[in-house]
Amino acid sequence: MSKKRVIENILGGQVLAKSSFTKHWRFILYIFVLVILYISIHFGIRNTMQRMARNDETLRNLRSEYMGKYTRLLHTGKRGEIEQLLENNSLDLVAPVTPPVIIDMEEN
Amino acid sequence: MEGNGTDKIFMRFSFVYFSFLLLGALAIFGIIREQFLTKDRITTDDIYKEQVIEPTRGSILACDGSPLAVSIPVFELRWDSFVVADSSFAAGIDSLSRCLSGLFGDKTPRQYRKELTAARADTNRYKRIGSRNVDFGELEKIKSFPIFRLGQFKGGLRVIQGSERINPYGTLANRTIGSVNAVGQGAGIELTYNFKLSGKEGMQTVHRALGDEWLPVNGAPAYPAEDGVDIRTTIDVRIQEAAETELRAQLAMSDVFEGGTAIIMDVSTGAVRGIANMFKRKDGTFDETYNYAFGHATEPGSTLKLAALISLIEDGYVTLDTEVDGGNGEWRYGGIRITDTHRGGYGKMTAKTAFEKSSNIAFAKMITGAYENDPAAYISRLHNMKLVEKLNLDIGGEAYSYIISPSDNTWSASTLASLGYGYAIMLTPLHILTFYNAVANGGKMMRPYFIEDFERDGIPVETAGPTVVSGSICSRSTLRDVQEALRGVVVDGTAKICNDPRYAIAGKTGTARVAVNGRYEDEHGYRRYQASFAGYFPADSPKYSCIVVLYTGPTRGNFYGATWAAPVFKRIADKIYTAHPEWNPALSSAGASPADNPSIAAGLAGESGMPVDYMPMKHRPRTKGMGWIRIEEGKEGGIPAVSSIELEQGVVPDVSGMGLKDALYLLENEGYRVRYSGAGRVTAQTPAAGTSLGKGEMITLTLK
Repeated sequence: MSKKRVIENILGGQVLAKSSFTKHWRFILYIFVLVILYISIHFGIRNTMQRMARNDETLRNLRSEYMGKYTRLLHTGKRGEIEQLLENNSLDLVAPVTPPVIIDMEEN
Repeated sequence: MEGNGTDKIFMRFSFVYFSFLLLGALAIFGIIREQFLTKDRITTDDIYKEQVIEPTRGSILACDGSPLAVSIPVFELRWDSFVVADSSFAAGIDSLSRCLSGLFGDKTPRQYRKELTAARADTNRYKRIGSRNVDFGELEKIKSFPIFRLGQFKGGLRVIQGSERINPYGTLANRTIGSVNAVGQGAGIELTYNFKLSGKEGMQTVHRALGDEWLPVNGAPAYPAEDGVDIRTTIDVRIQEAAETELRAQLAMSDVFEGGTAIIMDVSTGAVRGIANMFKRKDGTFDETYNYAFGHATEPGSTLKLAALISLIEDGYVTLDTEVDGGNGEWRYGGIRITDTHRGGYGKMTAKTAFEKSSNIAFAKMITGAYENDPAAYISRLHNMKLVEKLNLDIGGEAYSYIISPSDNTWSASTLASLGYGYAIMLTPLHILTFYNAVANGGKMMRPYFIEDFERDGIPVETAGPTVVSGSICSRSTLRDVQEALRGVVVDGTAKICNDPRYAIAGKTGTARVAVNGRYEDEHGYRRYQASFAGYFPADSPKYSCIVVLYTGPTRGNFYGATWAAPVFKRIADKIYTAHPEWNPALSSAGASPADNPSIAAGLAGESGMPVDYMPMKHRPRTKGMGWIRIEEGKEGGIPAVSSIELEQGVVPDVSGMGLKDALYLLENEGYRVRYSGAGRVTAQTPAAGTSLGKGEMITLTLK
């Protein structure tokens, strides 16, 4: 078969009608399904990785928000800060000078 | 006809076929052009790269796990004023300025407006927004502000992510926590444990996916970053704050002070619960910038008389009742003049009184009388008591402590006498405290330590903890004697200011002149003082030991430990005392039971329930595991009735009968603002319970 003929056969699609192809069409279909499966899984994995990256980012951001608020609260909760707030708001609450008293109770 | 039909199909097929072929050829040509013919061609580096994964730096925690230093992601805000359309800018600038002023609180809306307008006039494309970086929550708010909500390309807001090391408690324990810069210089725990806090970088290969996202390449070599470990220190935030507040307040009382330190130690373990280092800055304020506590060794003065007394008793030279003559307040020995502060001298007294009054002459006489023929024996005794032992602290910066010995060139005829009242020996305040702590701890000397353990996600991976330096620094009988003498200083001696009927303090005052260039007083009569007080409390069952040392600049005045350092000690001890109800005997109910129908405030029961769950009442309601509840008194001796308080979004809850703390917690968590008057329990609320009310609205409470 001349070179021209071979190219014509391939470009013209006649090659698909040959017995070597028709004989193995199930296998070719199987390979085709595998290729589709491979591509689907690849995209699935990529999507999952994208989601993971975004979730990581969200987690980092939420941690940032949590720590930001938590540290501000810690600062506000300092005894000195509370006493300053009380003074600024002209409240007459003062820090205790005696500890609470423990009362021993007998269980019923 | 048939032939024509076939030809037509063939033509159409050929057209479609060659169209696809052409598109394919164009695509191949496009690839070749991008790869080989254009200057900015796409390379492998544009699609794949090795990405360094930065580890998160470990946190430094207080003893209860609350963070003292923590790294958090933060966002720096920049504004590209060029991209904003004129109409958008004009419409949004006023409200944007108000929003920024409200969030940052550093400038007025007018100032923000002026700044942003100026930036736009200058076509500033990188204008800094706000005076600080913001966290994610704040960033989300800022993104919703006018103009900025238009996005990066129309609103101009540019966000740069970074990481920031923050100390939630501000400058609290700043010198101990320390810092470290990019080139590894710094101080404190941050520097000493930089290698543990830093963690290890990770690496992964990433490729660029659609949407300009970089995703890890499946199967490519990668190893994750290893975050730094958290370090849990021994610092108790409340004690640390008490130490800093009281020390700073005392130092501010006189311009002469240059700095000071206060250290509080857990008696049984040696854990340092608080350590304040105050150094005077140029503006006259004090801050944690110099390590006086264990990086500054000086002659301690009279606090060392404790070591002298232990030696004298232990070696059998004196008892507490031994008589010693303090004379007229002046005594010459070895060419130096030794004086007592009491005018006219103390005359004859017991060794215990000499300790209580802090007589230099008495101690110089006792020490020289005992060890004059063998001064090395006294030096050896001090070494045996581990007084100048290198502490090998778990954070760096420890100063060198030493005693002059008879073989030294600097030893003179008067050195032994000087050692009797706290000179000729260099000690840091932490060394002195360690010694006093041993006396409080039944003779067992503990190594002071700052690191409790190293943790990952709250689980210890390496424990540091307490270490014993010496099982016993002296015999039990000597210990009993010196403990009695230390208590005597507070009851009858120089530290009466620390005497408190509620709990017992034991300790010793110390006043030392600080030598500058070998002289204790310059030619103009100026001196530098070190006023100190070291002790422990409660004296009958010691839990904490503490030392306070104040350092003056040149002065002609007198600064005594009894009048300047002891009050600081007392105020710190008072604050610690109020947090320890167990130091006082518990009250016994003596069989008495509360009434079956006590009036109990409404509130949140939670998993632990309310106090009523633990009261020995005949008929006791159970509230454990319940939410917000109200307890009505039982009728005619019946069991008190418990009912739930219903909460509904946007409806004012009924807080009547609650204490202020519970009412505030509930209402503010529901989004309301609260104003109140009176004290006791809530008797009235406006608007009334059940009223529909939007978030941020005001509710007024009356308490009685």
